[in-house]
Amino acid sequence: MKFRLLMAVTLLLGACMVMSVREAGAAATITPEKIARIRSHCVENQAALNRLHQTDAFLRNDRGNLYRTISDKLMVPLNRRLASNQLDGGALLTITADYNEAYTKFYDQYIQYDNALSKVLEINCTREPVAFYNALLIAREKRNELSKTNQTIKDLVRQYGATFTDFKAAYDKEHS
Amino acid sequence: MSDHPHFAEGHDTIAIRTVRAHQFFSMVILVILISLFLVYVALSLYQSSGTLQLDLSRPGYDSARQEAVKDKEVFNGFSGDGPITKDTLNEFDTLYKKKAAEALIELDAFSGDALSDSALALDRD
Repeated sequence: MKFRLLMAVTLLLGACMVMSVREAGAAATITPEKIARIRSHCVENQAALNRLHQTDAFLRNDRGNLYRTISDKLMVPLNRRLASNQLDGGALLTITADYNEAYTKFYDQYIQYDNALSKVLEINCTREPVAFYNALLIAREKRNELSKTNQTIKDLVRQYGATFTDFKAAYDKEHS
Repeated sequence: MSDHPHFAEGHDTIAIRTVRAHQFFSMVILVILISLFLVYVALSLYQSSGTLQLDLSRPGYDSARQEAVKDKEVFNGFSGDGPITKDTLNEFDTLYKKKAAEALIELDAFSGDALSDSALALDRD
């Protein structure tokens, strides 16, 4: 019993240490020179981030609508049509499921990224350069995650196209 | 005797007597409170559902709104009903290739570079 308790306490302390090291890692890159640069470039960086925020909102709408259209108006109807004609569209169905999952991830990750970037914009970089940079690191991480998911969606669009081409070739061969 | 209105009124609290005396005014306050609650619920849903992030009608999003308005082409898509023939597969192929080309366009969407130290001039003086 005492051993288990000791194990639990050790694990808890270990977890706390890992967390503190991670946080310190995020803040470790902020040198006095960087703080000075954040302050000196504050105004132009705030303007650039504001512009980026607007561009991203447009991109999110544009890409989001396009990705939704591909799924709702192309992938899903074709899968339904293949199923109603008793044709094997299993591979296409799997890709569609992965695609929809990736889109849901994209949707959630954009919200997280937008919130993170909004937090960066709320911080006064002249008064709180360290908080600004830490918030920037978080936003950068969220943006990277979003970019990866965006890439996954594009890969799935390519995969679906290639799988459909194979299906069509097989169908043409069978019915020629 | 206890059913007499004046006797019953004597047992009411001050709040109830005030409401009875100012029924119209009380109703207006109640309606305002209900509408404030409904607005709170609506805004909470607006924020938690992610609609807030997609809303280009927010102040400060003029340029994004103008860009979004430009492209209003209606895309009907592929019908989910009907037989599968060579022609229908060709039709799907054409539609899919068009939309896939739009999706796969080399757009630097959400690349990490935009928030990098070099992009924000934080790695040099």
